[in-house]
Amino acid sequence: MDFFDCNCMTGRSGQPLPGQFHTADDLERELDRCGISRALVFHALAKELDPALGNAALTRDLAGRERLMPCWVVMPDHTGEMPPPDELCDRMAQAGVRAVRLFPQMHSFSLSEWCSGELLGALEARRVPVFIDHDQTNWDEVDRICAAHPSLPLVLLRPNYRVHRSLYPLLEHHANLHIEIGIYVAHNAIADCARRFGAERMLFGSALPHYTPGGPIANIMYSEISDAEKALIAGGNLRRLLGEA
Amino acid sequence: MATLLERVRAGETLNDLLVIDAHGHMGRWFNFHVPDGTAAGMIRTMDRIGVRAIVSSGHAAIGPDYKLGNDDIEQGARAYPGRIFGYITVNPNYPEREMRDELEARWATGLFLGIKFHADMHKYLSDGERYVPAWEFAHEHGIPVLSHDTVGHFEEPVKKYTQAKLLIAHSISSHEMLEAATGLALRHANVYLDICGSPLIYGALELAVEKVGAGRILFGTDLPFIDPRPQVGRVAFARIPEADKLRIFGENAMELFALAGKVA
Repeated sequence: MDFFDCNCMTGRSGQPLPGQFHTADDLERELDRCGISRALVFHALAKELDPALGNAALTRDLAGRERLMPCWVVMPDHTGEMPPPDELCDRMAQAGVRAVRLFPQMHSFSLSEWCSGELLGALEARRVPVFIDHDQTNWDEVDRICAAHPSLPLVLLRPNYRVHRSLYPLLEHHANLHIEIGIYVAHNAIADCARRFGAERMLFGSALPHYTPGGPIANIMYSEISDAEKALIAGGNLRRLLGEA
Repeated sequence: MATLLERVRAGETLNDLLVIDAHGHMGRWFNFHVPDGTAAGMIRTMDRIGVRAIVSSGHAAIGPDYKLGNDDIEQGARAYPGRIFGYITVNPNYPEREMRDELEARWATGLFLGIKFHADMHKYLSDGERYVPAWEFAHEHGIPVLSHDTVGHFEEPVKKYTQAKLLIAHSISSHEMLEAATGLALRHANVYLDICGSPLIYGALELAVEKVGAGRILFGTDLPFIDPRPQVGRVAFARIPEADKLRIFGENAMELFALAGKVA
């Protein structure tokens, strides 16, 4: 099974946990140990200090590492901290960046159209997948983004075992909504979600270096779905969203 | 020979191992959807992975009606002998006589192996006086008490009821919990750690093994609140010796619950 992790971080964090690593070398070693061939990676500085600074650090850290794909952290440009959306997308293309991550709660901006609409529209026009942590948004925001930008691939990171009563109607209504399955751990959740909405909606992600990849790998491999469905969740869906498949 | 990591990464059923789930439940739940909370559904998942047996408390029992929940577990245990065992759940918000009768009656069935407290759901702390009959029962019979509570409320009971065996629920779900739980385990020989929980923090299991040794740590999953598959991955992928993984997966539970000859 070819695993492509959609949720990894590199760089020093202000709140490292005991045993947590922070270098790209260490990340590659752990991916090797766990049998994960590739990873989509953002930089801790981009989350915890400044997106522009962190994205530049990411470019440096990942230079020459073909298996680690950069994921930039971005935000709206109203304050001048980011380039205008079209220019941002051009710079991303030049840097080989094909996915972005938003931290609207941490970075104190609204996901509503009056604030993020232009950015999301530019990303939608280029089919750039947008990754947002479950704890950085809410169900109504997810609904509004998916409705306003139906061609924007949106990946909700870290939905947990308590989400079905709100998640299911959103997956039903919005074909552009996807979920990462790192802690999507309700009993038989992967098989149930695949049966209702298709395995195309789920992506393998570990949240290294905070959490162990063994959990989601075992969750996929022991789920009662076909090998083809497992391959999609393990990496096929991410490759498709990144325009590789 | 393939390692446990390699076997789990391949999705291989672990029938040849002794995997015992020390923290199970059963049934439906009020504030989130449980795709399959039935005994049959639990057994199907256990068979897919290779989990030999589970020790469970009913969702109803940790919620509104502990006797109803104990009924559910008893029915499940009768339907799947040697696969499903029970914790006798008690709710200290009901009369002491009722608790004592419930403990005696369920224990007499031979289907229950320990006692369950859910201090968080029942809003009553593990060292409160209304739990005394249950601690006395566990001490008298030398059986485990699985308790979901903050670690600070275990010190006095484990000191007093030395023959009772405390299994701390969700003991490595955060580093704060891990520090407190391992500290208590180092101070008292009758304290064990349950690894159940959805956040599988990188390195936490390794740290717990380093602090208290693999002999005090038990595999538990919260099935069917939570799927057991990720916990299997956590243990198999941990950077600890293979022998330690086998102890955690089931050998410790066999001893703690005196399961020899009882598992199907």
